[in-house]
Amino acid sequence: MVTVIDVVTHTQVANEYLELNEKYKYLIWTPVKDGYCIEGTISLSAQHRNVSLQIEYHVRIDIPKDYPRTIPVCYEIGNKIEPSYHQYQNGRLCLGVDTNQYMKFRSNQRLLGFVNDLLIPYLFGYEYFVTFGITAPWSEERHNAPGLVDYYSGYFENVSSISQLLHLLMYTIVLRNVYLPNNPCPCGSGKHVRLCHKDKVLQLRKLCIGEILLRDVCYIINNILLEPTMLSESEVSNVISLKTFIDKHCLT
Amino acid sequence: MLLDKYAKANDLLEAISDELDIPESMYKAAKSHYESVGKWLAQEGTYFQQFNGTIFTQGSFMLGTMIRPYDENQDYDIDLVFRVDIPKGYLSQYDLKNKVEQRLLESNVYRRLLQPEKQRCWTLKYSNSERFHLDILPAIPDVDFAVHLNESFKLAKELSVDALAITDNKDDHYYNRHGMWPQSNPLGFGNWFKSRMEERYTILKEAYDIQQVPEYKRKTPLQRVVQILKRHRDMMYGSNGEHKPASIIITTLAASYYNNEDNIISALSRAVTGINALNDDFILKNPAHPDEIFTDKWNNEPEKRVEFNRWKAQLYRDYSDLVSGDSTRIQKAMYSAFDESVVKEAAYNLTNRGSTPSVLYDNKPFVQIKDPIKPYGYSN
Repeated sequence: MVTVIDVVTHTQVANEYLELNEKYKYLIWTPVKDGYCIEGTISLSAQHRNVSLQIEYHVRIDIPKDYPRTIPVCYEIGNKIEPSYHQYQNGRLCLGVDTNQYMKFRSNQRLLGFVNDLLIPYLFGYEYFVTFGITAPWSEERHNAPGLVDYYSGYFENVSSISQLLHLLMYTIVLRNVYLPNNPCPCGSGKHVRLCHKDKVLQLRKLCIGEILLRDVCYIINNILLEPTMLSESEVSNVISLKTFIDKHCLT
Repeated sequence: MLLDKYAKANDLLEAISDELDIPESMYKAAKSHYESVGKWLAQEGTYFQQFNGTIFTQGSFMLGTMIRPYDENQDYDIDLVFRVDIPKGYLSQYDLKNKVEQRLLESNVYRRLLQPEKQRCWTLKYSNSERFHLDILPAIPDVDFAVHLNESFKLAKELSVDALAITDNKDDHYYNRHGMWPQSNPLGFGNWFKSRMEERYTILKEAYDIQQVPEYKRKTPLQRVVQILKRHRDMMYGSNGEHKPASIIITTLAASYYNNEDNIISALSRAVTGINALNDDFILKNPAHPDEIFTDKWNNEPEKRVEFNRWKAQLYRDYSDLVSGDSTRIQKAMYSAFDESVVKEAAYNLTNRGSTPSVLYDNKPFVQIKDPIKPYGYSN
C-alpha cells in the first residue's frame, strides 16, 4: 500500500521544461548546483469566469533534486508583489497550503501543470487584488495555524473538534502497510474507518507527503497550545498527550 | 519581455552572430561564381543544356547557417549540387561525373581551378585571396527514391519531391549503367529546416521587407543558434577535430527543438536543454531521409559518440555560465564559445548602436483559470 513517487531523471525534467517553454517562451532554463531552475518572464492573458486580466511577472521556479516527490518552489523576482501578500520571509510565494498544492499537483505531475494550476492562479489572484482592491473570488486562507485547521477541516469534512482533526492526520501519517478497515475512525464518530473517513485518509496518504503532514500537525499543536482558549479542557489534555506521543515516536 | 540579464546576453549573441556571418563581399562573390559555373556547365548547345542542367546550393550556404571559418587561413566551403534531368539507367555514375569534368576542362578558367577528383564531387579552388572553394556534386533526380520517401515515410511532397541520385566513386555500382545510385536529399532537408522556422520567418519577413534587408541577411533565431553552436564546437576542437560533432547533426538537433521563438536566448535555452537531455545512446535520423541514421556512423567510430557527449557537456557548462547573470561567468562563457576578436567586435558594435529592438515579441498565451486553490501564508 505504500506508494512511492519516483524521482525523475534530468532528461525528463528537461523534457517537461521544453513542454512548459512551448507555452511560456520567456522562461529560460538556468542550471544551478542543486536541482534545476527556470527563470524568466511569465506573460499571458488569463481569465476566471468573466474577468480577464493581463499578467506579466518575473519569476523563478526552483525545481528540487527529488522532483516530483517534492514540488517546485516559486519566487517573484521583479519586486512587483507586495511582501505582505502571501509570501514566506525568504520571498517564496505561498501558492496555497502545501497539502493542497500537492493535491492539485499530483493529479498531473508536469511542470506545465504546476504553472497553469498553481502559479498562474496565484498571480491572477494578486493582479485581481491590485486591480480591484479586493481578494479574488476564491478568497484566501487565514494565516498560520487557523488557515491549516480550516483547510484540513474542509478537506476531511464532518470533524467535530481540532483534536479529532489532529488524530485523523496522525492516523494518516502513521498508516503504512497495514490498513485495518474495522478500526474505529480517529475522527471520533464511533463508526468503522471504512464506513467513515477511509477515502479521505487514503487519498491523503497517496500524496506521499508524510513529513509535511507531520510538520503541519506539530505547527497546529504548538500554536493552539499557546492559545488554549481555542480548546476545551479535555481537548487540551488530549492534544498534550498527542504531542507527547509525537515527541517520543515521530521526531528524531 | 526577456529578463534584463537575458536581454543583455541576447543582444550580445545577436551581435556576435552578425560577426560570425559570411561577409557580404564574400557572399556576393561566391554567388556570382557559382552562378557562372552553372551557366558554363549548361551553356547553350552543350550536352547538359538539353537535360536542364541546374546548379543550386546545399548545406549551410543554402540554410543560411554558414559561419566564417574558425581558422583565418581556411577556405569557405560552398556546397553545390549540379542536377541534370536524366533518368536513371541512361548513364552510369561514372559517365555523369566524367561528363561534368570534361565540361569543366573545356573552360580555360575552370581547368586551372579544378582540383583532383574527390569521392563525390568536383572542387573548384579559387585564388588564395578569394578564400573559398566550390564543391560541385553531380546528381540526377531519383523518382523511385522520392516515391519511397513519400510512401514509406509519409514525408510531405516538399520534402520528398527533390530526392536525388548522386555519384560516388567508391560505390560498388559506380561504373554500372543499370546499377543502384547512392541517394541524397539535400533540398528535402533544406525544406524541412525551413518548415521548422516558417512561422518566425513569416513574421520577420514583414519587418525585413520594410527595412529592405537583403535576403541573405535575414536570419531567424534558429539560424543564429545553429551558427552559435557550430562556432562553440569549432572553438572547443580547434584544428584537431577529426571526431568533432558534425554540423548536420548540430543543425538537425537545433531545428528539432526550435519552436519559433522570437529571440536567440529562448531558442538557445530550448536547444541546449534538449541536447543536454539526450541519452548517451540516442539515435538521430535524417528528417528528409529516414533511412539515413546520422548516428549510425558512430557505431564504427565510437570516438565520435564520445566526442559528441563531451561537446554536449561542455555546451551545458558554458550555457550555465551564460545565463548565470554573473558578469565574470558570462565573459568566461563568451570566450569559451567564440573567438576573442569576434566577442570584442560584437561588444564594440553593441555599445555603438545600443540595444536594438530586433526582438518582436509574440502574442501572449491564454490561460483559463479553473478551480484555483486559496493562497496561504504565515504572518510575520
